[in-house]
Amino acid sequence: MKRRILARTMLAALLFAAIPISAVDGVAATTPAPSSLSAQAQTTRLHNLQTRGTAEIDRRVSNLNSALAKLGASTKLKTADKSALTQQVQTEVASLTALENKLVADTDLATARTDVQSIVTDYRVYVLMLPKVRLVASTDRFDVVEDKLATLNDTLQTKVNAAKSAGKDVTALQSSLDDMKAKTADATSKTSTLVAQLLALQPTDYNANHAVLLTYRTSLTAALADVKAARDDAKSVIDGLK
Amino acid sequence: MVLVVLILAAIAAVAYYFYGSKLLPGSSKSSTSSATAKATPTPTPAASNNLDSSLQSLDTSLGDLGTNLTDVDSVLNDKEGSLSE
Repeated sequence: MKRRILARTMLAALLFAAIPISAVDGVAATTPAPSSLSAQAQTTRLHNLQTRGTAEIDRRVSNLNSALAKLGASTKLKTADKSALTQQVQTEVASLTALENKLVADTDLATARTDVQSIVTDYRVYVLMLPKVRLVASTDRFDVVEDKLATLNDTLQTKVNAAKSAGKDVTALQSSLDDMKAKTADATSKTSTLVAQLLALQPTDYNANHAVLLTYRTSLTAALADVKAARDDAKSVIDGLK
Repeated sequence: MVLVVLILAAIAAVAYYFYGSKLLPGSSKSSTSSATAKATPTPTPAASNNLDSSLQSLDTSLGDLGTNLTDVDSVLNDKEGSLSE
């Protein structure tokens, strides 16, 4: 009898202990979704989004303005490239400023959330625009180097021809000169169309392919090897003419 | 008589002044030949200097290019910016 009473007591205790578990599940099921947040919570979240969003926009506008100042002071960019880049950066600054005004005026959470996301996806300031400015500046510098190599090649060819007419064996010199010309042409073929391609890049291109700029950086690395080899050829010809 | 001597002395002094200060034509053969010698170029060293300065100019541009490519890499690897995007 005592054993039966003890068994019933233990069963009752187990059933009683199970009650809080189902109660917790019930509480979780009744937690309000974000759309059903209280008005106070929604206001707080909206305010937080606006604060974070304006800070992110301000940071980007500040960096873009620094880039504009550098562009304005640059003496090594081609005039057309400088003008195109300046226009693109100014457009981003103006659009981000307009977005900031819109975000501050937003009154619902969903719109504010979309606006904050667009700070990144519609502008790509750090991963596209600012690197793009640098890449165009580098490509313009390649043009300067390639022009100097071509001019030097012409001058050296005249000297080598004169040395040959004077009876000097110029076989090795001519070989270096030919290599210099070929390497310069290789570099030019790698860089001549880059600026147009870079200027045409849009945030959507980065969104579709995060490695889009690496292709251009790789081309510049290969072109740098070419111009360095051409420079070394020129040095050997100059030394050989002395 | 004394007046004639004084006049001759004055003419001699004036002539010496102009001759001595090389204002008269043909007054200094040595200086003319020196000027000619200075104007004569020395072809080989000058040509060599031109080539060397062209190479130096090229090296300057290559150095500038290298610095710019380093800037490109630092912007491409900007962790703070990349992480925020």
